[in-house]
Amino acid sequence: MTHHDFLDAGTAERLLAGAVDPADAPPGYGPVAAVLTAASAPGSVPDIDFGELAGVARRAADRSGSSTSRRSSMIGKLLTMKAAAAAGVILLGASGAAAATGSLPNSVQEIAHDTLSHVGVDVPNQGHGDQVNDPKHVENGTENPPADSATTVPADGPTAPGDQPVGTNGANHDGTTQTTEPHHSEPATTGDTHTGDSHGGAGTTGDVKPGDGHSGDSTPTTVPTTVPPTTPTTGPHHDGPGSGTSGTSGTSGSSGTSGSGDAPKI
Amino acid sequence: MRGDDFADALAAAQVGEEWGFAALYRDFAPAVLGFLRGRVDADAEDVASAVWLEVARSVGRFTGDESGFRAWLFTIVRRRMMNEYRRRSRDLAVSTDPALLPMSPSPDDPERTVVGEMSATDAIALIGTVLPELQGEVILLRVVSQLSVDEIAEVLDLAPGHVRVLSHRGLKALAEHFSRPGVTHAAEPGISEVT
Repeated sequence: MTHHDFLDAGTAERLLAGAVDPADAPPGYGPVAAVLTAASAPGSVPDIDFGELAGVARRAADRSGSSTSRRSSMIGKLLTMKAAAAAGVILLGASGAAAATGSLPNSVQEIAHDTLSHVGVDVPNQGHGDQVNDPKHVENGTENPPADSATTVPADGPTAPGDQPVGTNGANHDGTTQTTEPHHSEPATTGDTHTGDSHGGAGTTGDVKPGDGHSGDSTPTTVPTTVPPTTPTTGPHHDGPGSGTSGTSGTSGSSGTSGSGDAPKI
Repeated sequence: MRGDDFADALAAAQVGEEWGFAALYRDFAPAVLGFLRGRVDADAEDVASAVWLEVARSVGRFTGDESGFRAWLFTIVRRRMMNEYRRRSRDLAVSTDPALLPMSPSPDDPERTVVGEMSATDAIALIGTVLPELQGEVILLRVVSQLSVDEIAEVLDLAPGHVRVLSHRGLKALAEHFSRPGVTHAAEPGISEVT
């Protein structure tokens, strides 16, 4: 063991602080104290351009400030966009719900019906929507514009009673669909489900033709292709056109209701 | 620098006032350069210049007192020092011409004289040469840069207790160096000569 193995913490701190004179240093630490004292002497430093440093600091501050404001602006924009998107979603949702329940004003409801029917979403028309879900309103189904049914009836051919506009659907449904009307009370949500169709025609194939109800297409050419006009059970043919007409009038729902309305008659 | 003076100088530097940098440089540059002389030798002034440029770029974001500033400053110093080490490694990898190798005196170099007239530069170089790297840094930061144990712990990312141990071992290593054969104590106390 050498003499420099003994160095208490206090002495070490004093050495490091330059507070120990080499003459007073512990054995073996005199040279150390001398070196540390020499090292701690303030050395000379070269001159530098403080103006340049100040300029660098100012530019850095400017950049920092501008980037901060840019960040704030970006955050503001993002928040605005998010708020707008959220408002849009809420508005769409509310409108959609209102349209689906037929709660919109008649004119608006009609527009919603027409528009949404093109994308395969069936909503009630002119306040009849609630009738879709409410069997009590089935009678209202007959309120469908006769003109529509009139235009469709001929298309359906002789088997379709021309005097039953939307009711023609019901007439068709009469025999065949009563028991097959599970959709009757369900809201019409898909394009091909023309509630009226399903109501009345239920199982009839003609009912489920999207084109029929959607387009509200009363074009005769489409009808024959879907349903054989001659068969008595082809009453459903009428559904095709009928639903088409109801679609035309924006009353696919009402045609459905008319169908369903017919059903009770049976 | 004391209290309010430091705060004023710092605030001035942060808004780009020239006198603020002059005051900070006057008080801290010797410690920075002294430390660097013990670590990067001939490149110390170049590295110190890079340090002060970085200080100018970053001082606007600094918050704290003088002790905190010292720790922050020497954190920059060490980062720049490491950059210098990396640069040297790359240069050495490119060229191994002995003439380009950094020159550092051997502890036993008879040309090196450790005497009472030893300059600060020589004393710092001796510390940097004799001691292992981490011990040397701790001793230089304590003695040359006059950082406290806690400040060194922050700069080196060590526990204060570890810093104390390293400084204690550094002192003993220096004492051992002077007790080695060939290193005589021509004039005790405090004056040694290498024979």
